Amino acid sequence: MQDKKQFGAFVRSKRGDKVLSIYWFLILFIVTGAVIYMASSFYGTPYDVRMLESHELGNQIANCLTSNGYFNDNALDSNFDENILSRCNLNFNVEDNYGWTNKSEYYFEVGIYGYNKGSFNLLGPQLADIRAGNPNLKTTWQLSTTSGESAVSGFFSNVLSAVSNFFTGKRKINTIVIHTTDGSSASGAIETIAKKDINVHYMIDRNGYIYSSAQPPAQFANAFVPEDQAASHAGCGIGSSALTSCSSLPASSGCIDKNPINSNGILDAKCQNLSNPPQSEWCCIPGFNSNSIGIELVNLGPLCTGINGGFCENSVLLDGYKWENFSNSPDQMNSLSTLVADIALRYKIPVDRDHIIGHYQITTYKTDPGPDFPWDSFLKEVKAKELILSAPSQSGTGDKNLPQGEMRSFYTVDRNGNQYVVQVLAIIGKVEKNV
Amino acid sequence: MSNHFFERRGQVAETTTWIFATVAVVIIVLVSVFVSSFLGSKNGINQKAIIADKSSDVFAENSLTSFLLTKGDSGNSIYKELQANGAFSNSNGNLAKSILTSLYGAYYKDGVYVGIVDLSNKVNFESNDYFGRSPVLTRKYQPGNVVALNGVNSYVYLEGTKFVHMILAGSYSR
Repeated sequence: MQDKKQFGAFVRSKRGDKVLSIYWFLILFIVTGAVIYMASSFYGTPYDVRMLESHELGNQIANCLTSNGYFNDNALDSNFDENILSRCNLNFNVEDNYGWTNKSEYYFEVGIYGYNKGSFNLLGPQLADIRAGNPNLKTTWQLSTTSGESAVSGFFSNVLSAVSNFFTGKRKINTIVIHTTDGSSASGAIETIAKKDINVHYMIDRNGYIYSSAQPPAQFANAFVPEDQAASHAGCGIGSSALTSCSSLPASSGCIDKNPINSNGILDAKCQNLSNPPQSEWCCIPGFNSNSIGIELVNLGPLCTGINGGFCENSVLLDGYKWENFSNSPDQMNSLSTLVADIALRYKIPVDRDHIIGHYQITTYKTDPGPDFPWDSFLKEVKAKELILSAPSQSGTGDKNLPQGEMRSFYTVDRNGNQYVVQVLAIIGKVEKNV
Repeated sequence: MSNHFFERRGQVAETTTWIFATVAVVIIVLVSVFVSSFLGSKNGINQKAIIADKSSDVFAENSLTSFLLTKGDSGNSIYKELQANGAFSNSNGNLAKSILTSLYGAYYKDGVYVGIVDLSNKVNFESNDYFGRSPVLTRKYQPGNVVALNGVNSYVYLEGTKFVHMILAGSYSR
C-alpha cells in the first residue's frame, strides 16, 4: 500500500515536471517571439532615401545640361525632352522591379530661363520646359507641403514681419484685390484712408516696405486691419456708407441708379462682364470685402497727366492717360509678389486672374491697378514664389505616402556668352512596402 | 490529516504563484511590444530618412564654374580677370553676389561667400566688399564618427597659392 502511494506520487511528480517543461517552453517561445517582434518593429522600418534620390536625380540632370561648366545648348532643341532619360543616363531599371514602370514614381521638370539680373530669382524669359515622369506627383507634392509654416524663412522676412493672423480661419478668404493709391507717398495715402474711415490689409511702399496692422505707421494705425477682419477696401459704397442710390452722389458723377443685384438676387447682365461695362452706368459687385484681402500699392495711377518731373517722367501712355510705370518700382513688385504668394498659399487661393484681381474688376468706376500692371509676369512670379515657399524642408521628414522632392537652380553660360538660369524640380514618389 | 492538508494547500499556493507569474510575464511582454511598436512607428521611416550630403552642392558649384567662365568687361572670362587682378572688380564682384545670393542665399542661412584667398596667408576669416566677412563653417559629428562640415567649402585654383573660395554656410534647408 505504502509502495503504491509512493508510486502514485512519483507518477504525479513526473507528469508535473512534463507540464512544467511545456509551460517553460511556451513562456520562452512567447518571450522570444515578443523580443523578435519588438526588435523588428523598432529597427526594421525601411530607410527613406527619397530625398537622397530626388537630390541625386536633380544632380544628374544638372550635370546632363552642362559640360565643362558650359551650358549644353542642345537642351534648347524642341526635341530634347524626347529620350531625355537615355540622354541623361537616367534609368530606373532597379526601381522598375518594384513596379515603377506602371506607377512612374518619379517626376522632374527643367525650366531653362534667360538670365535677368533684375528679377528676385534671376529668372528671365522661359526658353525651354522639359518634363518627364508622372506629373501627378508634382501636384501631390505641392499640396502636401502647403502650410503656413513653410513660409517661415529669413528670405521672406520682409513679408513675414508684415503678415498678421496666420491661420485664424475666422473668415473664408478666396480673393486678393490689388489697388493703387493714386498718390506718390504712403503717408499721404494712409492719412486719406484713415480719415475716410475705411481700411485695408496691406500697403506696399515704392521701396518694398509693407505697412499692415502688424507693422502700422506711427500715425493712422486704424487704416489697417488684420487678415481675420474684413477691410472696407472693395465695397460698393463711398466711404463707410453703402451706395444704394445715386442720390448721395453729385449730378456731375453721371451716376444712373443701377443696383447690380436684381430683385431675384442675380447679378444684372450688364454688370456680369466688367471688362466691358455699360458706358453710362456704373456697376459694383458687392460682397468682396468679406472674402478678400486688400493690398494697396503706392502708385500715382492715372494722375500723371500734366505733371512734369518725378515719377511721371518715366510713365507710360495708355488709354489716354499717362500711368506710372510699375517697372520703375521693382522692390515694390517684389514685395507684392512675395506677399501674394504667401497669402495664396496660406488660404489655398488659386493663382489666376479670377482670384487675384484688380479693383477695376469689381467696380466699373475704378481703374486700379491700371492698364500698365504686368498681370502675366506678375502671376508667373507669384507661382514661382509659391513653389519656393511651399517647398518642403530638406530634412526628409515627410509622410511616407507623400512624394519627396526639391527644386534647385543654377546659373550657367554657353560658349557664345549667353547667360541662363536653369531650375530643376525633382520628385520621387511614395515608398512601396518592403522595398 | 495534517500532512495531506498541508500538501494540498502547498500545491494550490504553488499553482496560484505560477498563474500570477504567467499573467505578469504576459502583461510585461504585451506592454513592451506596445511600447516598442509605438516608438518604432514614431522613430520609423520619418526619422530614418537619409539626407543628401550637405558638404557639397552640385548646383552651386556649377554656378560658380559658369560664373568664372562668363565673359567679363575685358572680353576675357572672369576667371582670367581674377587671375590677372587677384581680386574682384566692381562688375564681376556684383555679378558673383547677384548669382550666389539670389540662388542660394535663401537656403544657406548662415551666409554665402565668394572671394579670392591666398592659402599661404593664414587668416581667421576672409572678407571683401561684395560678400562682407566670410561665414564660419562648423564641424558636426555624425553617426559613425564621421565629421561633416555644416555647409559647402569649395575651392577653384587660380594661380600659385591663390584660389577662388566659395563658402555656403548652414544646412541647406528652407
